[in-house]
Amino acid sequence: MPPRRGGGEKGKGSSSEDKDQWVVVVPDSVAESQDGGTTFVKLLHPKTEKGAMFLFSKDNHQVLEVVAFQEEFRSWFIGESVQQDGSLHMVTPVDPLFLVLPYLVKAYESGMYMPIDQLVSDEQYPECIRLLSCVNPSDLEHISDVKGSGDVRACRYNEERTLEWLKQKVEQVADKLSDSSVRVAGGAQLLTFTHSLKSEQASRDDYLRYACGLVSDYISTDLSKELTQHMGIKLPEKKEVKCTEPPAKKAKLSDIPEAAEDYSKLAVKDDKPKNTKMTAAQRALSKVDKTGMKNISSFFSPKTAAKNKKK
Amino acid sequence: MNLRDFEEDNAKSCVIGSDVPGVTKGEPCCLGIDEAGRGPVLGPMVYGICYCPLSGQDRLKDMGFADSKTLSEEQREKLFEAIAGAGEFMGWTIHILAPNAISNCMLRRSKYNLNTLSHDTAIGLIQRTLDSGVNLQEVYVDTVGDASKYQDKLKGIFPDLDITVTPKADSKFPIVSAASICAKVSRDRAVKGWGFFEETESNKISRQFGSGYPSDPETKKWLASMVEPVFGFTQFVRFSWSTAGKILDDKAVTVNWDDEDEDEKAATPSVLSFFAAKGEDPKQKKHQYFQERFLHSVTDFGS
Amino acid sequence: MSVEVDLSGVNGETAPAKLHLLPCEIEHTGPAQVAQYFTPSIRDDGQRVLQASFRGRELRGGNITLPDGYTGLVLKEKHKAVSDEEARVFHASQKFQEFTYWNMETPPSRNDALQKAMHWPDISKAVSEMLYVTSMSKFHIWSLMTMFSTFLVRILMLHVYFTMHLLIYYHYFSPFQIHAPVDRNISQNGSHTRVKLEDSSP
Repeated sequence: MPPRRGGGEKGKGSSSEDKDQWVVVVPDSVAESQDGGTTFVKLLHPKTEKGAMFLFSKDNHQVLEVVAFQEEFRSWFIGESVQQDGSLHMVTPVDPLFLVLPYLVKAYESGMYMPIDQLVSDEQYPECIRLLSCVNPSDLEHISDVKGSGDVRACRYNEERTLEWLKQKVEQVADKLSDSSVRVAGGAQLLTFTHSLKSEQASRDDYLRYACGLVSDYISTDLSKELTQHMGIKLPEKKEVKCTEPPAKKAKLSDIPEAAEDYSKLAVKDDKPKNTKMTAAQRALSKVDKTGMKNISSFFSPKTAAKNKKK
Repeated sequence: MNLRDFEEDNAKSCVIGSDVPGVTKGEPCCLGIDEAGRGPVLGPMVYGICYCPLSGQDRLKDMGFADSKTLSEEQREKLFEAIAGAGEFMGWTIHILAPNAISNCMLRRSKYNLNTLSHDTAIGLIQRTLDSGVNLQEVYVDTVGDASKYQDKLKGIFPDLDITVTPKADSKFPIVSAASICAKVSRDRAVKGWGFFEETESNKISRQFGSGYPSDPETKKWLASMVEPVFGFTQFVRFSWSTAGKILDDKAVTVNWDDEDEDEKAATPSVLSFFAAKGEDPKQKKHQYFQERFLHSVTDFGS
Repeated sequence: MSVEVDLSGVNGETAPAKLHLLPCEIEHTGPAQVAQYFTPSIRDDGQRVLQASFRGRELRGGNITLPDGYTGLVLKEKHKAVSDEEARVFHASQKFQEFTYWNMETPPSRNDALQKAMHWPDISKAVSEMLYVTSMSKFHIWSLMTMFSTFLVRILMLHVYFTMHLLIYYHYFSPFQIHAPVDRNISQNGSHTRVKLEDSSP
């Protein structure tokens, strides 16, 4: 009994026509703010470098990102109605520093210290100025050098600080993933939900690698590469990969750190290192003195904690 | 016969039976199996069995059993009363397959056809009778599909029984005829007394559905008139019948399931399709964590 | 583009909406007789798996409670903006704390993408919460615990010390003391001066 198909590719979850209703899940604090001021806006997404939807809570105190659970072949019954679009939007608080970071990196080219409100401005995404009230001024020190105080604060991107800050995030995410028993094992086994996976204990390195990939969804791909290197995160073992290319070729590549997004690693075609022109950020980064950067062993040493204390 | 158990929830199949006569536990017995309501697009399909001592077969003939289809409704009701009144030497059991259960089975991802469903039901009823202590020896079955294959299947499962599978068994063996009457009478009663849970005070469902056979114009008319655009039909209708499906294709909203149409798709779950969508800009690709959970960044709100 | 969210339509008294997430795509958006055709088909088998039928298909489902601290809203755009300049407004029309999701035939499981996705708000906290605060509080807890355990150990040591003294003292001045030589042996190993004094007296 084949169903009647609407003309062409109509339907199939991709229906963009005439959507006028959305099912969203928001923090209670957002749901309870009755007196207006809650707004969805489009901001520059630090990873995609394209616009994405974010939500500002009342008085711009908090910025939240919007991700949608969108499985194929899903629709909603809502009370006494049907909604073709079966997606579930989840609105969760996002660290505003992630969204400020691209502007800082961009301004770093000039080498100048600049007031934050001058740094974060964007013709394409004018609403980005709202981010300023979401950022706790002292938090800017996680990602930049700050001069002055109070209203006359000026800052300049600091890669070393940023990488340390991101490293802590990665550690924190790794802890969380491991506490929540999120399966981080190789992508090739993705489709086999067998019990044998239980015995396959993920190592701390597995969690860190996975967490680094996850955090990398909030930073530019260039910075992600730096972070991977900074943390000494190794490539996933290639034997798990369903190869479409001869394995020998893959093996050679394995000692070159790859971008985090390749961790999903099913037959990646474009995973060769590219010798393209350096981006502005890369140029900026290459100027940075990297002697102070740590390797993986320091990451496990107690020094890190001591350093945090000093901050 | 009391159909209350089935009427309480007519979305689910149900087994109802008489007490087991003491004599059938001692004397060697014969058992007949027949079904009613296989063809219709509406209502339940009922499997009936009747059993009695081999020595009681002459008494059955005297009671006047014949093919239930050649009898009038009143005659069948009378004969059923006779069966119920002969409880000291005859037992019966019916298995009502709810139309919803039939649809569910036939529309399953791993297809389960009506013949297999029929066979399984018959096997279940024989087993149930054996389990209740009846001294079964001979079994007579009206065939579903190829008679000899069906017979081999049953013999494989019940090697100790003398099993005869044949077309028109209900006109050849009085015990099958009795079983056929049990099945037909209960199917008729179930259809007549059908409680439509979809019905409300303000939204009555017409009972003018004719014979229920797909070829009956009245049935077709009724089906077409009762279509609800989203849900299709009441659960009284067997959705898995092509007649019902065609009407929905024409009159109801299209519903897409992930096991339909694209056969090659069935082999590869949609998780893979995310990985297959490669060659795209790595900047636009979400991490494995999100991909496995079908979580996407929202870049816009429709429009 | 920005969209104002009007939450005035839902408040504390709003009755929660009943939502079902189906395992199929229905090519329609609009009113549907859910309470008449779907809700009555739901059966609870008592093992936390729900059963229902839609279009003759068997569905298996379960209830999902939203993550702690989260509320579900149905946002509706009542009037489509005519131009890009016109401000869009989404009105919250319904709210919910749980919903039912349905699979085809297979009972709901923790491996279902949806169930896994519902943990995202929790994981996202680790991605976006302010780290500095977290590591500081961790440090505080740790140092407090260290201090407290040191304190405990000291008290314990003091306790042992005094108990030892008390026992030895009692031993020597007990009125039931008979086996002096054995006692002497013990006392030779003891470190208490008074014992030694007693010992050397003969």
